This record gives sequence, C-alpha cells and structure tokens, in this order.
Amino acid sequence: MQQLLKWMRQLVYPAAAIFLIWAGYQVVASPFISETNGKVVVVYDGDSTAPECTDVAPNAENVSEAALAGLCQAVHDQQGHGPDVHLVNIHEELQDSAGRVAKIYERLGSEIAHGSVLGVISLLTSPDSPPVVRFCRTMQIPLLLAVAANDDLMSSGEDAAGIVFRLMPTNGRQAAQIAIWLRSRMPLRLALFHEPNSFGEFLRSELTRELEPEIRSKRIIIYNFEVTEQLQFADLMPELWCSKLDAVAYLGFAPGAMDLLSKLKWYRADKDQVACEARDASQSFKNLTVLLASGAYEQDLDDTDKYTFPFPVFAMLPTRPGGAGSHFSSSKTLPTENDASEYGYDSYMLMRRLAAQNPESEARTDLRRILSQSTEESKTGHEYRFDRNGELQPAEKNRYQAYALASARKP
Amino acid sequence: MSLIALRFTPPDESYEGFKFRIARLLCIVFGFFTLLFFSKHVLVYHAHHQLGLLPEPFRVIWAYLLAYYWRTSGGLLEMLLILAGFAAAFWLNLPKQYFADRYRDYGKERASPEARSLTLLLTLMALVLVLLSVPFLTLHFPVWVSFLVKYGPLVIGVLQYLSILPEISDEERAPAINKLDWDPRVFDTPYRSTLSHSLGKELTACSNLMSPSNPQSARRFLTQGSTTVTWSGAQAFLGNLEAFLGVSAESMTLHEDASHAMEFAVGALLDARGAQATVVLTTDAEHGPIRQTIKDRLQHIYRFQLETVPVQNAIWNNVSPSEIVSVLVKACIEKKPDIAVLSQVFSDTGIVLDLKELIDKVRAENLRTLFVIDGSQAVGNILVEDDIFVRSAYYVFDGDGWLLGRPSVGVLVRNAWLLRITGEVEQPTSAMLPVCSLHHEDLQDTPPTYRDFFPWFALNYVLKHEWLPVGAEKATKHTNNLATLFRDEVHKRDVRTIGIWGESSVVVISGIPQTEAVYHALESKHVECRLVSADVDKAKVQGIRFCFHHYHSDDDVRDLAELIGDLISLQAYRHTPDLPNEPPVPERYFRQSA
Repeated sequence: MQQLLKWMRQLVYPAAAIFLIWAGYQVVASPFISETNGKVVVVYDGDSTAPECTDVAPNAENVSEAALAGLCQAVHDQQGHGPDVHLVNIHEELQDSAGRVAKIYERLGSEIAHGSVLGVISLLTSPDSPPVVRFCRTMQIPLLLAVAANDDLMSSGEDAAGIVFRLMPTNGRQAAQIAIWLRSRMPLRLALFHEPNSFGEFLRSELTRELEPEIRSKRIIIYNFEVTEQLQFADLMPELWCSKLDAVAYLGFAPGAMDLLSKLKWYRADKDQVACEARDASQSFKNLTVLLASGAYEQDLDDTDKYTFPFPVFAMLPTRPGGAGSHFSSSKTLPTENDASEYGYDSYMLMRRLAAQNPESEARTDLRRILSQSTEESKTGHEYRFDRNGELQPAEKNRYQAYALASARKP
Repeated sequence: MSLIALRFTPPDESYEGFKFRIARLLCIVFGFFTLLFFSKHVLVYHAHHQLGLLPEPFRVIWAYLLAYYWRTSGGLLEMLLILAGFAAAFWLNLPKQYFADRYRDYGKERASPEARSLTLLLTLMALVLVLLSVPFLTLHFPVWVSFLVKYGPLVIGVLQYLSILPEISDEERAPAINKLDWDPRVFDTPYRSTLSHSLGKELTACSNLMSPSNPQSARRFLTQGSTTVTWSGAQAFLGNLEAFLGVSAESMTLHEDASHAMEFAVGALLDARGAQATVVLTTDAEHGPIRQTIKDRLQHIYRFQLETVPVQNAIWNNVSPSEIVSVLVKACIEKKPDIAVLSQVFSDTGIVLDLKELIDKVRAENLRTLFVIDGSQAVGNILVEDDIFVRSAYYVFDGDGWLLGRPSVGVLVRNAWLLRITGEVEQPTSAMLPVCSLHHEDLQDTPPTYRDFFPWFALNYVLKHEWLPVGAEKATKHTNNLATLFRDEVHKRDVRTIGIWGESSVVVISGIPQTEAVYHALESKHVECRLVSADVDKAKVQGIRFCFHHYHSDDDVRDLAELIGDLISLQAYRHTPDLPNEPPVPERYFRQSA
C-alpha cells in the first residue's frame, strides 16, 4: 500500500503538469468561446423591455424592435428545438451619453458571467453597435450583427475577424451599387443630398470616390447639399429647378427624405420667381428620378394610400422589402413587411447552425465555415457565405438593389 | 534561493515555508493561465509576426471581472471563498493548527525578513492572479474542468503536506512548536538565550496581575488564574505536568530548583532512617550542584557514608551502556547502599543510564536500595516512561534546561507506593501536598509575590503552548533524530563524539585540536554550547556539548556541523607554520535567526 501511495505520489506532478498543458492548449487552440447548449444573448434597443420572446410587440418604427420581432418569430417557428434566447434591452444604457460604453460593457459582462453562452446577436443599429462588437471581440464570443451596416464596425482596426459576422451588406457596398445605378443613367445632372451623420457622410464620400472619373469627365455633374437644420428644401427648389436635374439622391434617413419628396412633389416653377427657362411645360419635377439610400426608406413610402409621387422613386435596399426572399417573384414592387425583421429572423437561424454543430467536431473550430453552411433559404434572400472579415461575400444575392416604390410613377 | 548572503526562501518545514510553497504554486499555475488569457483576450496577432492590442481590452475585461464577482451569486461566492481561503491560510494561519500537531517545525516563525517579504509578495501576487483567472476559467472551460483547474493546484499543494501521501525522501517528520521563537543558535540549556517575545508577554501580564498592593487578588490569581493569560491556577499547572509526564499530580511537589528537590527527597529518606547507619551511593558523573547538595549539605547534617562510583572514565571511553550498568550493579553489591542518587542522563556527556536494567538487577540481588533519580537532563531529552517512575523512590527534574521554562523550578515525583512497601517513609501530611514548599498556610501568612512564582508561570506557559500540543514522544523523537544527524555530519568531518548513538539528544564532540579555542570561536559566533571536561586515565580531556531542542531543524544542525568543521580547519591552519594569511570563516550560518 505504501509503495502504491509512493508510486501515485510520483505520478501526481507529471499528471498535473500534463493536465495544465492540455488546458493551456485548449485555451490557445479554441478560436472562440461558445457552448453548444448555451443561450443566445440578444441585444436590442427597445422602448419597452420584453423579458421573453412571447412578450415582444412588433414595432416597425424601431429597427431594433422590428428585428427582435423577426428573431422571436424564428424562435417560435423552431418550436423549442432551437437554442434558448435571452433578451437584453440596453435602452437605458444607451440613454446615458457619458457612461454608455462602460454600462454596456458591464451589462454584457453580467450576461456572459451568468452562464454558458452560445453567442450574441446584436439587433442594434450601427451607431449603437461598437461597444457590443468590442466586448464580443475581446471576450471572443461569436457575434452576429443583424442590422448594422457601417463599414467601420468591422474595420481592420477592430480586429473582429473570425468572431463578428454581419448579415447585412455594408454601406460601402451600397455606395458602390448607387454608383453603378447612377452610371447607368449617364449623362446625368444629380443633386446629392446627404445628412451630416456617419451614414450620410460615409455614403457621400464613398460615392464621390466611386464616381470620380465620371465627375471629372463631366458625364455626371453633382450638386452637393448638406441637409442641416437650417436648410429649407422649399427655398432650395428654384435652384434645383434651374439646375436642370435628372436625378436626386438622398443619403440620409427617412424624415428628411419624406420632407424632400414632399417638396419635390408639390413644387411648381413660377416664371416670376425662377430666373431660368423651364425644361418642359409641366413646370414640375415629374421627369426627375429620385433615389433613396437604404436609411431613407420607410415602409409607409410604399403605401399608395398614403403617398403618390409624380416621378419615379427608387430605394437602394439590401433585401426585397416585405419578406420577399429568393423564393418570391422577381417583381421589383415593394411589399409592406419590414426588412429588419427578416434579418432578425435569419440571425437566429444562423445561430442555430452553431448550436447544431457537434462540440467535438473539428469544423467547430472555424466559425466562418459553420455560419457559411448553406442549408436553408433565408428570409432576406441573402446567401449567407462570409469572407475572412466576417462580411457577406459579394454574391448576386448579397448586394443592394434599387427597388422602385409602388407609390411612385413607374419609370 | 540565496543571493548576496540573503535567504529569500523560508525553511521548507516552517509554516512560512508552507505558505511560500503554496503561494509559489498558485502563482505558477494561475500566472500561467492569466498569461494565456491575457494573450488571448488582449493581444492580436497580425501578419508578419506583428503584435497589437485589441481596442479597449482592459475596459472590457475589467467590466467582465466586476460583473462576474458582483453580479452573479456563483462569482460572489467564489470571491468570498478565495478571500476566506487566503485569509485562513496566509493571514490567520489556520492550517498551522493541523500541521503543528503532526509535523516538525510547522507553525514556527523562523523565516528571515527577506523570505517573509517575498512570501508576502508571492501571496499578494497569487491572490491577484487567482482573482483574474477564475472568471476566465469559468468562461473557457466546462464546469468540471474549470473546477479541476481552480482547486487542483490547492489540493496538490496541500496534499504533499498530508500524511496520506508518504514523503519521497523518507525523512521522518516530527512535531514541534508554533508559539515561541527560540534562538536556533542555542545548543545548550536556553537560559542564556533571549527571552522569547510571547513568553515575555505572558510573564509581564502575570506580573501585572500579581500586584503587591493587593495580596488578596494576587492569591486569587495564583490559585485561580486569569482568562487573560495562560496561567489558570496552581492546580491547572500541576494538571499540565501530570498530562505531560503521565504521573499523578498528587505525587508531585514543586521546589525552588532540582537541587532543593533532591535535598528534600534524600533528606526525607534520611530522616526516616533515623539513627540507622546509612550508605548513600552516587557517581562521579553526577551534576555538580547535586553532588554538592549531597556532599556539602546533607552529609554534614546526617553523617551518612557516601560512596562515589567512578564512571567518568568508562563514559568518556565510549563503553556500552550495559557495561556502565554492570559497574554500578557491582558497586551496589559491594557497598550495599541504602540510597542511590543517580542521574538518568549524565549531565556532561548525555549518556543515558539504563535505570530499568540497573534497578532490576539490584532488586535481583535482594538489595533494598532506594533510588533517587536526577532526571534534569532526561525530561524533555528522552522519553521518560512509567517503568522508571515505578522503580524510583523519588524522581527529580527541573523546569529549565530541556523543558525551556525559565528560570528553574524543581519538580519532585514521589513514589508513594514504593515508599510504603519498603516502609521507609511515612505518607506526607496534607500540608505538604501538592505544593510542599509553598503550601496554603504559607500563602495565607505571607503575601505571594510575582518573584516567587514566575518560574511556575513560565513552565506552565511552555507546557501549555509547546510540550502538550506537540507531545513528549514526538518531540524527543525529533531531537534524537537531530542528534543522530549531527553525529553523522561531524563524523564526516573526522570529529569524534562521546556517547551511544540513537539514545540521547546530547552530543559531545571531543578529541579535536584546540577545543577551547573552537569553543570560544563558537561563542563569538553566538552559538551557545558548553565546554565540558573530565579526568580520564589521569589526564584531563575536554569536549564541547551540544543539546538539540525541538526548535531546531535539520538545517540548523547542518549549519552547526559545517561551522564546527570550518572552525576546526581554521584552528589547524593557525597552528600550521609558514602560512601567512588566515582564511576567513564564512558568515552564512544561522542567518535566519541573526
């Protein structure tokens, strides 16, 4: 017995050393932290807090809540076979302008510390997303950005590759698609409105960069307008009229776009007021074509009962609005469903792929490979294949398209 | 770890060493994980071997740590456990209570200041590293793995100290004490060493409680003690002695010192014999004060025939114990002594007399000799068993010397049964028991003073805090092992020792050149030992006596042997002609206690 004990004692230290080395290797070798049977932490910004998915009330006004509704629909559709979700409303944290980042970190830290986590789905818009991205990147917890499209969120400086994945094509790609759309209409005199926020500024600068050769060759003439509080569209109308515009592009959000569309719709050039010749007899902008950036699109704009526009209006959108996935017809008419909810739905379905992975599987070490496994049709119509940076691969189904509004004149 | 004459590592077998080892292990394991976690969660590796920091990693990690410990019940419980565990092991020293009872030296505060500082630093580092790692272990691993990693190092660290796992080195561990900080350079009876801090505190407190202005209160304190000090009254003190020796408190009386106790015992026997001619036998190897008591005081009063048996020659010539017994038995047969006054352990040389064999052989010769045994060099040195007490009429020992109480108090153990059956001495009066020299009448008549009783307080304190927790058997086994180790070490250096191996914790070295010079050199190094001498074969021989106490460790013994070896070499060098410069003696010995 004594000999056995001695022998065992001699084995204790080597065994402990081997165990420690094994544990250390596990830490180094695992590229992310995710428990197959863990919960999905869903971060959203809602005016009201829903403790469970069953309590979520659809709210098309709020992108985050709309996405949450879609996600909860996916949970419901799984009928308990998918991973559990834990809803985290960070509305209060976002209201604290001074300490919001610290508070979001604390809130997420608390959620992670409370138990095993499969991954995090962020239903926040781009301006609210950086703390979530940084937290998940540092803690190495898989993160799906459902509705945030800002390129900087996953820039090289954030080093989010391999951990953070974005379901939506980026704003950069939107700018590229807008440029293509505009090129198809050359020669062109374009009034380019942009809002002085990260979305508008980024799209304008990217678009200008994309169209630089055309601008230089005068095939596209751009009139830039920054939409500030002081800017009155009504005062601007004669100038626009005199500029003999072919198109107007609005790079901003819906309220400003609605105002501009309204002013364009009702404007009639008065010979006494304008110092230029009319291009045609209509005295209106009916021959103008308007393009709205994705942020400027609102579901109501597509409602013919609410709006009618005498000129063609397009919205540059990543998905066919109203749940028109690839299984829908290729008609460009916009249905009424909100696209944020589709992203919410798909984000949960993607996370389900991660949960379905065998924990012992070697493939589980590559998050990109897991999430890129195409097994089912997506609600958004995207083909979820990700590149090394976690962005959607630029396939046909993964790009922005200009959809004509049903309430506008057919082009 | 020794650098520029500093000792950064506490002795392995001290409690400080235990703390050092545990803290070091925790630092290694949790430092390893902290490093991994930080490189994983803070750093990012770019192409071309470039390294960078993730954006805001420390804010994120801090937020996670805070959330883990404050916002989860499991995390909060873990933090409390960690803090409580560290406080228990490193601050309150709770495991010491376990180790002090089982292993040598655990619990002793003998680490050097630099080692203590390093231990403290390691402990704080370990605490920080544990607090940093635990939340990440929970995050990275499944529950069972994380628990294994969190608690495994602690279990492994502690397991090596538990008796369920045998020591690889087969070095036997013996118990020791945890309260008093004796000077490990003292290899003699410790009266010359500095009074230990804790014992000094006890004596000061007792002194304050025995105010001369309030004799009633002083009497009450003497008989009942106080909750603020270890002293709990005279009866409790005798109870402690009873527990330590294994003989009834009723058979013990307390005296000023061992000589007075011996005088009292032999005087009582001589009184009982009245006018009968009495032969008292003793040896030439007895302790000086005892011989003086018999020869200079008692013989003048009682006029008995004193027979001194020469055994010094045999002892210094390393004869076997049975030969010494034979010499004494032969002397008893020849002289037919009525009383024999003998030491159980001879004072100068530490040779143990086999009393059981001696008395049994004497009894076998139908001699009615009553043995009065001087156990001053025995109690605390060797294990004194019942068969010695039942064969001796009186057994005397003192509270200083080996028991480390200071100054001395004499303890006399009276074998009432033996005295009754031999019919020599009547049962003492109740006034003589249990404290014969200071019985209750005295206490009533004379106001007790602290000066009269503080040796009792000191011995009681040492018994309560050292000997009883450790146990006489374990302590003597330990000191005996140290003596054996010392003999081995000095024999390696060709130094002769006096005495039989494996019996006593005293070793005398002799036959070295310039013994006195070596002794003084040791004194100059603050090593306390004793120069002993004897006339052997008509020539004076000298030796240096070393007593090993339970507060010594193997390192102390090795240091001592090395120092002796160096000093002997130095003396030999000095007496070698034509060697101009004197080599220095290293100053590294007993550094931790300097």
